[in-house]
Amino acid sequence: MENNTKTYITDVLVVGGGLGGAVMAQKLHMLKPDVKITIMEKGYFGYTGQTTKAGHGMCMLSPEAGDDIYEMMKEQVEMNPYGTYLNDQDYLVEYQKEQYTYIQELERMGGKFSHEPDGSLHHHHEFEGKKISAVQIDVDFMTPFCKQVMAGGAQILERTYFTDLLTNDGKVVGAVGFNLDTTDIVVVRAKEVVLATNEFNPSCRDMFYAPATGYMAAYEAGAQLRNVEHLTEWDLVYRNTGNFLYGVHWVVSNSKGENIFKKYNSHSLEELDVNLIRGMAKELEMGNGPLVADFTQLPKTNEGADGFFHGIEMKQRLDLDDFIREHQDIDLSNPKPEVSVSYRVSIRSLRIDVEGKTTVPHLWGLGQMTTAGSAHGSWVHGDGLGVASKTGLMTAKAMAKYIDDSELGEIDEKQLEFFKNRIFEAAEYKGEFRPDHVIRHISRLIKKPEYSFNKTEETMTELIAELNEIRDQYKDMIHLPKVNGHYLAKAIELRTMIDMLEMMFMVFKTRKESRGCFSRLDYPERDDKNWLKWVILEKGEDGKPSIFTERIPIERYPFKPEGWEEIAMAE
Amino acid sequence: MRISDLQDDPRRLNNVTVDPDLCMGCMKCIRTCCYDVYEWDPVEKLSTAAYPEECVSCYQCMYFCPAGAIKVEEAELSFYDQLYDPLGMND
Repeated sequence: MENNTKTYITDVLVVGGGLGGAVMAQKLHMLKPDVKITIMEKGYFGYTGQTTKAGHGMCMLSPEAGDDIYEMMKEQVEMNPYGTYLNDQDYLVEYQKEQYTYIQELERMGGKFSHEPDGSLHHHHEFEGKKISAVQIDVDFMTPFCKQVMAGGAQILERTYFTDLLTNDGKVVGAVGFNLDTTDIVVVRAKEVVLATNEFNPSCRDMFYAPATGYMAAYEAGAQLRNVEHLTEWDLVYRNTGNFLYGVHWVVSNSKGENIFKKYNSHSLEELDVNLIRGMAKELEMGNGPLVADFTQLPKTNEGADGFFHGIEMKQRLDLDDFIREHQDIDLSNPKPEVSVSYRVSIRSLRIDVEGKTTVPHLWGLGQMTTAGSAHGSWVHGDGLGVASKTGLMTAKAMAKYIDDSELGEIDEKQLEFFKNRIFEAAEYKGEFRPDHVIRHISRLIKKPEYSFNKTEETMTELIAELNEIRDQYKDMIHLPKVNGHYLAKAIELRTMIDMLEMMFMVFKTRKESRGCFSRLDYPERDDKNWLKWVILEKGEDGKPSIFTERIPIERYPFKPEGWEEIAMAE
Repeated sequence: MRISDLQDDPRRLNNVTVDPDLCMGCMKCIRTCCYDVYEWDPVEKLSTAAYPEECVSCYQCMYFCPAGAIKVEEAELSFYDQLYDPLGMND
């Protein structure tokens, strides 16, 4: 297939023009006005990205509210179910320090936040039940950052679907993608490349669905992924519609009126405990369904979503929220709506250090795709935008120190040719179905109880075999109805989804314990003695996934589990 | 993988339509959609909901459409309900 190739040369390429990418680009321009910045974005810069859809809160430490860095870190390490004690506490300290001031910094850069009539920053204490505050932002929060980035002269490659990283001699030298409208190949040669391509979330028809393309590119370039097995999430949803229902899981009841949360849950945190989910499944099996969220059990003082949304500057967000509620098929006057759960695999495992560098020279990472890879620098459920903007600022500041000494690398033409051919390979497929049919099949498959909340060594082995079978067959089963950008991208999403999920389940099998949201039926307990360690995934020398563990330097960290001396000594 | 596994249950996918009589061709839906549901028709100079199966019910297109041309009809059932579906309670 003949296609045009457009080549661009830049100093810094930011892949992903969501909030993290935009903040990073603006800050870098402020610090280094002469650095040439290019942004590769699959949608339209300033319009797309999760910011505009999902975001309304951003965490901060507020001295006024009495938030304390030590208390917050302690909670993050000891109680946060997203990888309890698997934090990189060096990273955590640096990250949390910024929590006191980054909102002000974003405001100076043009970000709009809600203020009280007296001018003070409007914020909500104990966001998601954690010892941290949150500010609220509106739907158009990204606009000022994007305007500044463009005014600063950055080159924006819109509608450009990133596919691969170009490497030479073990170093990243640029990136490849294609234009979704024209299918022209886009090659960007860059001194430094920043991945801001979001998490991998294979949950179809979910607002957070995100392909694995960014991770697979990083993995193939040689980057390490850390904590792949963490940051799976459970959300309470309305049965039938599957729409999210936040903050009421402690009033889930069965048809007999029994409170299921009290019966099964083992902790009182905001996140859904796997015991509650197993309990809900058990109640249904016993014929005690349907399960409902019994609002009549809520305390009268509960603020709920309306209490949270009273930000002064959030007019559009409030309006949009009302609009959505109006159009969703949910009877809001029903005090006992039927509920179920939604499983979200959120892989956020690109390993970065405190500056945002990955393990590959000239490759950086920021935002949600690094939340677990930075070994839980910080993750408060709902703080994706805080993570995006804060890591954007941190990466820009670090990048400013290095960019002057960085040089443009040469492209490996053979590798580029391979990537170009791989982008278009699906155009030749002659099967009956579309790529998205297989994507949805896999998305349903991995959510089955035996592969999610009740997974065991045996079931995961079975699933890996099934994924391999799909890999062997899918090229004969799919075709592209039109050889256009949309379907080419879907075929790439399918290929990378199969590869990433296989590796994900290989990592799941490696960790033989349950810890926080990571749960196995065959190893139900946390096992610090054997598993207080990181599981690392990288591409082995033989081209196959290499999975190994790495010691956590727990002895020099401020927060340690009981019996840590024995664990440290044993190593 | 069986062929039957690849069949979508239409009750579990959204439907999205653009009324061509109302669409003004402002492209706001194309710009706001993060999942590439819309496509520009260069002949009619209108937006079309070319890939409704990608819709995730964020409603932004419908909300921002100045002409009221867009209709997002949400699926009757959740995409996959891991509590009720394995027991056949949604069949």
